[in-house]
Amino acid sequence: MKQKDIGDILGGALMIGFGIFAMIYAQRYSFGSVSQMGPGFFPVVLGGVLAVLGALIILPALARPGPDLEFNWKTLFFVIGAIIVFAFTLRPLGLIVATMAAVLLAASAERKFSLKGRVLLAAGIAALVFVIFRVGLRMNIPVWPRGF
Amino acid sequence: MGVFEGLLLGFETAMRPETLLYCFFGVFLGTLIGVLPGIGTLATISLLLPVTYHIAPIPALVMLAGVWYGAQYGGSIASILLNLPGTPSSAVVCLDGYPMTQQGRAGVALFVTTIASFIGSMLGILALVLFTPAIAAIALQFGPAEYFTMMLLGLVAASTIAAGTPAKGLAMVVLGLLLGTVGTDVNSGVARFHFGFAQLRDGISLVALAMGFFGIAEVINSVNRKTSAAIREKFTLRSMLPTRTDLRQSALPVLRGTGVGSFFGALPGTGTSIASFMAYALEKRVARDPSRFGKGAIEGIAAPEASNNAAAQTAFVPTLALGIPGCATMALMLGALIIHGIQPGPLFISQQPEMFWGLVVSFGIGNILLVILNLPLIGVWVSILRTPYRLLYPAILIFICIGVFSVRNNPFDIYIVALMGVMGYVLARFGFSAAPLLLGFVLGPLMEETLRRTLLLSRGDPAVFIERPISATFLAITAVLLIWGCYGSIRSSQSRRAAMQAQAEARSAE
Repeated sequence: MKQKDIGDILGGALMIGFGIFAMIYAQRYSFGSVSQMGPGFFPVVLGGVLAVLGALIILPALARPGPDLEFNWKTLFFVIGAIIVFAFTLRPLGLIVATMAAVLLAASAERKFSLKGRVLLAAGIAALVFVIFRVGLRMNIPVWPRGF
Repeated sequence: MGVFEGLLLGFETAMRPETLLYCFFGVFLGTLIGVLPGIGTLATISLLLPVTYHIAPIPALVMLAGVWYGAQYGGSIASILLNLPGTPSSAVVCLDGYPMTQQGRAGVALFVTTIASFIGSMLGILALVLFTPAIAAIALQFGPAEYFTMMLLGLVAASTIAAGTPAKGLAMVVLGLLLGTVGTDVNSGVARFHFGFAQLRDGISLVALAMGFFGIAEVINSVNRKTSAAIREKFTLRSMLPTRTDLRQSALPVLRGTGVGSFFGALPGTGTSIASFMAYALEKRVARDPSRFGKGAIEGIAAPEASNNAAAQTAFVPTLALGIPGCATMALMLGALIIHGIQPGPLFISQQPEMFWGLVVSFGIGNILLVILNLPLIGVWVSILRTPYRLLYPAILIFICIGVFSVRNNPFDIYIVALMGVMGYVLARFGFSAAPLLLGFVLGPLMEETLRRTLLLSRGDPAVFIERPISATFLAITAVLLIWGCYGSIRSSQSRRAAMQAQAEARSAE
């Protein structure tokens, strides 16, 4: 039972990192005084508090066993990848292509899902968003690749 | 304006066809996502936030609120039929609801929870009407010092009571406050933390932050998770009718649950989940035969359902009377109001009577609609429960992307969603809850503003926070919460260590 509470240790470290980063980065804004606070005052103070809280999370966790961490990296990769692909392709290629590409990628996170099923789903969702957002809500969004 | 004139004005507002339509859409969607495990209220409301840019403020709020209290109804359906809570606040309904299904009394359980929800909601609305103006009247005397300490108290309460260990909750609040400082500072005009991106000068969009932390993180957690087993029951109205004993046994629990829920709903940091657990615990304590609980006792589903629905209504008290949201969903409601340039606070009722009373009456109408949606249409919801998640989540992702894009017509915000999604997922895995972060993010700018103004007025003397009695009281309660939280976390840390040690010893003894 040597396992430490990894989640709290890493999370606490992350908080210390965010806090110190905010304190250093906010140095470029004027700090002001307590009665005349500058734009740097609040971020620097918050950064300091966050770093202290991070330390308070880590300290007890060092002496305490904790649960194992489980990360679903594959799902995270496909889901976030799908969002980035959508953002990247929306302007040049339009709504239909971007939606189909993103759905194909996102659906790959699911284990039991045939290629045919994924293609059908992608086409179905593309048709659905076209009807809802373009036909129904008349949203100003590029639908087809540029130049068409 | 008296209550009577207020209600008249409210009826006039809420009965407009547009408002009615959005009310129906809200409660319909609320029931739907309440039924489906793996899509929560927060994710849905953040998904709908972009829509609110395009419609008038009253229908927008009516719709968002409908999702919120509608989900409280839908959540118990999955709890009763599948032993799988559709929303966190209906988790406790599993304890006695699922045994009722096993005994073939699922229909009765669904009927009783719907009626209990309805009574709880209606009485909760009454509490909302009575307490909001009273609290707003007190708050009229608050200066910036009181506002600052009250927000501090709210944030500390939300992070120490609701979520896991207090240090982690507080860290998330502070991280949220920091994220809230991104963008142009109102006082000096300096753009902070924009990292050279012009889009960040307006700050991080609330829509992108909420969708990343709640929508995306929830999708990643729910993919590949096992869901609905086959449900065999068929529901006819006759199979749902409770016996006279059932009704007699659930009458008092519904009233007690409503009382508990109304109280905890209005407190910052407690919310609907804690309200339903408290109501269940109370029923178990006052019962003549506590051993019946967990085996299909009807009190065990009636009280918690009345409680979480009452709490869902009274949660609006601090949000509308003070402008201080008590939970993450209310923070989103506040955000939606701010999007429309409305800052709730003590003057809200007198300055926006149409909106306040319109909301109140629409809650009443919405709850009547919910009873109609839930009782005769129960079969529809049950068949929706059978939809596989793999068909749903890609569509949810696309809706999130398009929704975020539509707010500013800019793909930049979609990248922010991806970034916030990664952060939200990783932090959730480390055991950090995202709700305090959202509260901090929404309240951050107002807190900075009130802190600045207080110390400017006192010429930099922090003693002003202790010299004013109301502010000092808020600070004292905050201190008590912090000490209590520290004590609790030290104790749980020790007991965890002892438990692990005992386990290790037992293993080595073998």
